[in-house]
Amino acid sequence: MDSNIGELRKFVAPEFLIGVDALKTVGGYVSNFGINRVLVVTDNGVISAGWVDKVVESLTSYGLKSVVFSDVTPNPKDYEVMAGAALFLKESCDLIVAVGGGSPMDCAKGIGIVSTNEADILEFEGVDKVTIPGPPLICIPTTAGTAADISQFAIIGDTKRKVKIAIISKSMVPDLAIIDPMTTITMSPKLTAETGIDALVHAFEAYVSNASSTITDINAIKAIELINNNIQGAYNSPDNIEYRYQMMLASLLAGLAFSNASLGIVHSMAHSLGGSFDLAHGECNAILLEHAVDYNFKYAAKKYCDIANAMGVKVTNNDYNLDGDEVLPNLDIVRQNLVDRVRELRKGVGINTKLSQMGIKKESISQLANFALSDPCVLTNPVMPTQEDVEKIYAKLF
Amino acid sequence: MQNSSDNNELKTNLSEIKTLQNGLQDNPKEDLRSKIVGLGEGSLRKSYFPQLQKQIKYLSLAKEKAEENEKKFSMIFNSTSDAIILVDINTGGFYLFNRTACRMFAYSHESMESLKIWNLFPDPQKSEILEKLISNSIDNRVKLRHIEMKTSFGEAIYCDINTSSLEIDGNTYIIIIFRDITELAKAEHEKEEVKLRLLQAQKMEAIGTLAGGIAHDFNNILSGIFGYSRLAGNYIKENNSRKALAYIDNILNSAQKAADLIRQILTFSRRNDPEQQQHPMTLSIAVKETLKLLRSIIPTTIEIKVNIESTAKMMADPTKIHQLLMNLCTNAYHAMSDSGGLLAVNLRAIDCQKDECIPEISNQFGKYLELEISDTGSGIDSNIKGKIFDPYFTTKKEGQGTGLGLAIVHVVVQEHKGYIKVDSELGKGTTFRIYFPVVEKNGSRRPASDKRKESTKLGTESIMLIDDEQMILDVTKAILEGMGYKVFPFISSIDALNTFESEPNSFNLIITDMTMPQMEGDKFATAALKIRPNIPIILCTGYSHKISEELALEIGIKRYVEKPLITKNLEMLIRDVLDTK
Repeated sequence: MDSNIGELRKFVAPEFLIGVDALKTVGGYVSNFGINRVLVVTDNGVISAGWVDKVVESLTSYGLKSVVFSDVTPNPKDYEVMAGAALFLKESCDLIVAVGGGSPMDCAKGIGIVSTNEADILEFEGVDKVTIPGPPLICIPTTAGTAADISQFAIIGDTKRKVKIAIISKSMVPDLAIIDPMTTITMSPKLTAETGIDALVHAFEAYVSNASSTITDINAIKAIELINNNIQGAYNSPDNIEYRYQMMLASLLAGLAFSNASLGIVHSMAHSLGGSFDLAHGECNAILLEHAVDYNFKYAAKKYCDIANAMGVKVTNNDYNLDGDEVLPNLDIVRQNLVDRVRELRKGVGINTKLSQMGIKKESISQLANFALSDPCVLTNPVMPTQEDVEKIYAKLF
Repeated sequence: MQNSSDNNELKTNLSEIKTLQNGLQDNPKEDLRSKIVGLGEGSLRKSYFPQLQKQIKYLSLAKEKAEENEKKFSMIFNSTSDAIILVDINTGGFYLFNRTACRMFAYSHESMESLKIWNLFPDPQKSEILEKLISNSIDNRVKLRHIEMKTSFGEAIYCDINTSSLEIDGNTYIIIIFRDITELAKAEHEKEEVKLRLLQAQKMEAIGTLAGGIAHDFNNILSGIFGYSRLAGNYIKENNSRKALAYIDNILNSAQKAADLIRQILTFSRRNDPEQQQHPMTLSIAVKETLKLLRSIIPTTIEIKVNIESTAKMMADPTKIHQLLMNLCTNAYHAMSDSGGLLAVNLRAIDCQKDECIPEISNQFGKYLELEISDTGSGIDSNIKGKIFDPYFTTKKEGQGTGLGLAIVHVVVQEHKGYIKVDSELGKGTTFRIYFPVVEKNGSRRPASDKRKESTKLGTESIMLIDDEQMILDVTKAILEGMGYKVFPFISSIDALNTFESEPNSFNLIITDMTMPQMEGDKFATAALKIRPNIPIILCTGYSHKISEELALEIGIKRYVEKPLITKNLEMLIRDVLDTK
């Protein structure tokens, strides 16, 4: 329950449709917008997996014309966005359907705002810099974790300055997310593990965020429970649609939570790490989570107890003292058990990375911590950590 | 997974993070947190409504503009003086028409809507009319001028029609523009009548001139006949029958002249079937022949240049074409006789369908022979240009010209379906251009007449031919041989006389030139007649006046002819001389 009833709370989410074969409905949805031509933004991996054909087929069955733009690489580049926008305008498209993981979806968000504002993508860097919303955007995620289909974020590579820029705007929240767990069956176990842990971190951080609310909390805690119960199954049995469905649902819930409550220390440290070295976002999150829990626990003990509960970690011992009162849990034990559970889960899906193994030197720690502390995600962490606190956590990764 | 300990890369990547936070660091942390969780001023959920409103405003402006344009267009469309109708090529129905169309054809807008295009024509041959209009809209080759149309009252109006085609929404329409020229046509008709009356007046004037000329010529001839008759009468009284006979011959000659004159005059009236005498003929050959003959009579102060670019054939009466060429070239020569100059004759073929159209014959497509005869002589005064083709009109001094030359040329050109043009500038010269339709190689209108074939077979006799000009000798020999005669040419009159002395009976006829070195024609004739008194001799003279016809006949020469000898005349003359032996 919210303790601070004086503070305003906001919840932004697209309309969404989740379920097996949800993808087939895209034509119907698009035809509802009364448009001429669809730009389908995707990448070649998704085309090979056959999902783009299915989307185009559904569009065609409604008599809708479409153009496919697939010149998108992982971590989409500024020129890719500009090329997509040029194609959008040239072909007189008026709606975008993004099919794929985070990269095509981020690129699609960029194409949308560039084509309506007629400006360079780099001009939108920062928070709330988009003046005119892009055209209607429908996202069809093919991974369970990024939640770009739900979120207000897009990360684009500036190839001239060789940096990544963050564009954060409520006007980039898609109009519709069509979430079909079938599309995740083609994910490799490694990608399943990385994206699954990413979703788990989204949920953890949103739940303990100082901007959380009841609305975000119920989504976050359910996501944690679902991931805890299904990530191992999805990793071990990729073809099992039940596990895939639960992971998709968890990713959605976690997305709804973090998009509105924001994140915390794990993401700020992971961004610093992933930006400095070529490490996968999910992997960075995975190795940081247990240490962040250990550090944050005492600043949000009640919330962490809820998480522990959701993850099946014993919080009350069901013992009674002589007066018949329930014995309060020993917080240190809960913390330790939760950290252990998180580590167990990580190892269970095969993530055992040590920074020393990656050739990263301890001398980098100070700079990494420096950048982590200026990352916007840290603003909603339960406590504002010190440089020393962050350095200590990084040190544990070696 | 890639990892790197490269310091440079680390630096780059660290600066990347810095940039990620660019702009965020400037704001107080609380502000930034509010914005991220969606509480900033610009953190509103997206709305398409302002964009839609903008678009609607833009569209309504565009619509206003379109309506304004439509208003302007329909104002122009309806106020044009031409009727404009868009016709569906499949049904012949009207897709669009302007107010002028209703007015021009006297229909209400409603009744116009149910009409088909053929209803506007007096003879509603549905498919034919539509087809004609469609094909006209495609190539515009056939001009639709003075087309009779019909109003709702059945009244006839005349229109010039222009068509083009266009496509609207996948259907093809022809845009037909009708220009009412009924009034204009009336005015033109009146103008035409005035022109005809003027022509009639001119004709009367020409007849007057003609009659005067004829009267003058006949008076001359008659006075000769009267004179010679009286003289003959006198000699008969004196019983000097030889002299009397000579005068009677003169009377006969005068009568012959009168007959010739009548024949010439009849050229103007006898036009019942000039084509009867026409056969496919290579004009270039006739030009060459004529000019060869002309060279001998035209003094060398006049240069002759011939340029023949075409050997195309035309339907022609060779005699008349020769006459035409002779007349024009002689006129040219006369125009330059005082000063000398250049006589240029050009012959080429032109294609009227393509680039070089002669306005006067432009309505008749096809190939034409252009015969251009120009001189650098005195030129024609523009005041009399209109009269030069009139019979008996002449600028020459009394007795130098008949006034019939160009008139005959004009008739010959008309008989050959040709066209003649004259360009002249006083003091600079004159150019006649004549256009004759080319006849295709196998396009003979009918086989050469039997008469012609017959006439070429006529001659079998032997002829002694004497001329000091090798060229004339060759040409004449060729012509005579073409008629079937055996020809024995002599360039020297002395040699000829020697030959004649040794074998006087080998020849049936002598044709001799008058002007020759060593022994002149008349002397030769006298000598030859001494050897064989009955030998027929034809004496040809240029423009030498050394011998008159009278004198020649006195010598005993059968015929005295002026050069040049034109093929057919010569043919007749020879036959005449040989047959009346």
